Amino acid sequence: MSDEQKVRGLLALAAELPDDVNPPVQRLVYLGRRMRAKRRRVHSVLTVIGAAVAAAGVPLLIHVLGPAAFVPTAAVPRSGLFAARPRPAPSGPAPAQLSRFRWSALPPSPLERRSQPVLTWTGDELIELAGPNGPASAPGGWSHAAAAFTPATGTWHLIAPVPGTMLLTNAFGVWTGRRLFVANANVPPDEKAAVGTSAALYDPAANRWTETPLPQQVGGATQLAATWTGQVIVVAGVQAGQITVAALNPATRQWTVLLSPALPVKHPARFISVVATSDRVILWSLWDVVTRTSDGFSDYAGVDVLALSSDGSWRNVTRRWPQEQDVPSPVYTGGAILVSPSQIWCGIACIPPSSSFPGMLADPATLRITAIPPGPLGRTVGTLTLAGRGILAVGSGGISPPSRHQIPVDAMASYDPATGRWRSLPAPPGYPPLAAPPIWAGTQLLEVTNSGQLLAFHA
Amino acid sequence: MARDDEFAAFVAARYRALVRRGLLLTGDSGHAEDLAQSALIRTYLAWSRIRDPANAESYARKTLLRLAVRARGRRWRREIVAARVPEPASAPATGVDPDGLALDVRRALAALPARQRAVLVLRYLDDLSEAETARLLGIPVGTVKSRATRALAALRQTGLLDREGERNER
Repeated sequence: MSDEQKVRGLLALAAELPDDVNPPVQRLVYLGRRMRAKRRRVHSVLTVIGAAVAAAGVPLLIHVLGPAAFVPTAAVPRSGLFAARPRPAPSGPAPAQLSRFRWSALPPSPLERRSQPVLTWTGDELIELAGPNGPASAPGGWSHAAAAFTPATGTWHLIAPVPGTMLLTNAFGVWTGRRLFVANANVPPDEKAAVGTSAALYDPAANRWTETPLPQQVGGATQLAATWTGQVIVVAGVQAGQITVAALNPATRQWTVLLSPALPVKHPARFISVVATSDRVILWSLWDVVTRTSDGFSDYAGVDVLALSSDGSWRNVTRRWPQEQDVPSPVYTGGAILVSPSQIWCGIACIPPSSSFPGMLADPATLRITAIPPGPLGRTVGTLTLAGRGILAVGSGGISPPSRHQIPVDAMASYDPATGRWRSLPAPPGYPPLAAPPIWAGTQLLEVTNSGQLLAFHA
Repeated sequence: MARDDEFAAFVAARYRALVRRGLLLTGDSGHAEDLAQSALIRTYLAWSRIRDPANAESYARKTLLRLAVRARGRRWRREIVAARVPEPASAPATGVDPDGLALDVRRALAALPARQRAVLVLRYLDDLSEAETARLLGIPVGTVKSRATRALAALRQTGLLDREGERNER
């Protein structure tokens, strides 16, 4: 018998237990539960303490070490994030006056017919660019040509084409008051290499484009959203569930990478919307978590609302914001945030029933919501556009409950936020399909149809 | 409460085995139960990550080992000055150890450094290979060999191996 075998025998003997050693199962489960609850409480407290220490310590550290030590990390642009002067309140015709407007056909666009072009009102001109050539049903290639319509002369003229190195496949524009910022809103991952970092500024006064490639942190995003704060263009991107944010000063063409908002645990962002108020940027993060189940997938979804302050910090301001609807085209009116009618948001793996929520006005400070009541277009409103001192609704077509009336595409109505009253407006003759949402051009509404026709709704 | 049910079943099945290991590592049945329960509570906290009962067994064993080694390392902090000398503990009346051999083995083990004890338990009670023992303790295989050799030599000096030989011959 070897020593090792003897040791085995000795250990087995020494490890024998009396029969009365029984597992205290219930006690251990109870202690385990209690310990788990305690850990959670401690974790919550530590999170709060950590956030407080970071909030107090980081600015102090930056102050002590100097901003130069932190160049690669988040910062606020030297110019600040927001303009010192608040934006002027909306002006122009009252909603009641819109009902006396009429339609006129203006010269057609010199560009090839296209769908979903970027239309921007500069104060003097309507700029048209990007969008795939051909009708929406059969789009062709991507044209770099661009044009502008001047209402004062009633004429179109070609402007400097979009830079050849840019491929605007799904473009959006942000007007800063002097320049137009253009980038792609959604970029499929397989097109990322070609179009991912495309962004440019167009200066109508100089008729010149300047490419401003997105910073690396934002350039990899699969979806971008941007807003003009009065001082900088804040561009937010979604990449792998995270949100990255940068600010572009259009005057200096300098990018500053801002702090990324901290998303709640297990709330990966899928889509975002942003809008700037007079002192904050509000960002909506539509998140979802898809899990595989025995019979397919389950999707757990919601909406986080985050606010960027002038010091570059983010706060979660979700509170009671609706969790089951998306946030299309938010616009700051000067007194409220206007959100067009939205669809159900139930995650990317969920196919929601065809239904829409009414448009709404949110208080920019509290985000308290006032739903816009259904008007003559019922639930068929596609987009809401600021028009003078009122809101103009353009129909998306369909049958609207409860009257079950067929509402044609492009049917129009105006809403007066001051009185809460709707008025029906005359639709464009022949109800032509529109290439893009209508544009309010100071004193009149301009619409570009799918066939390139330009229509004006004016006094 | 699937988590609690699974954990309860695991405790019922593996508690005594863990206490046995604890007894060899500490030499005291009270400490052994404390160790086993601490290891099991940590296993409960990690249950969502573990899931597989085989992993739970391995996790609990490893935790128990770590706690035993750590507890030994800071035992001096727990010393209590008492007004009178406590009564010496009596050997457990198991009925299987008429010669007091089990108690002597525990005393001899208690005299070994904690790390040598851990190697002995893993190598000769759990029958793990030198490589598995090294991985579990996070030490090189050579260190496992040297600790096992020293521990065996120490036990040999106590005469326990001879007594075990005689017991088997009887």
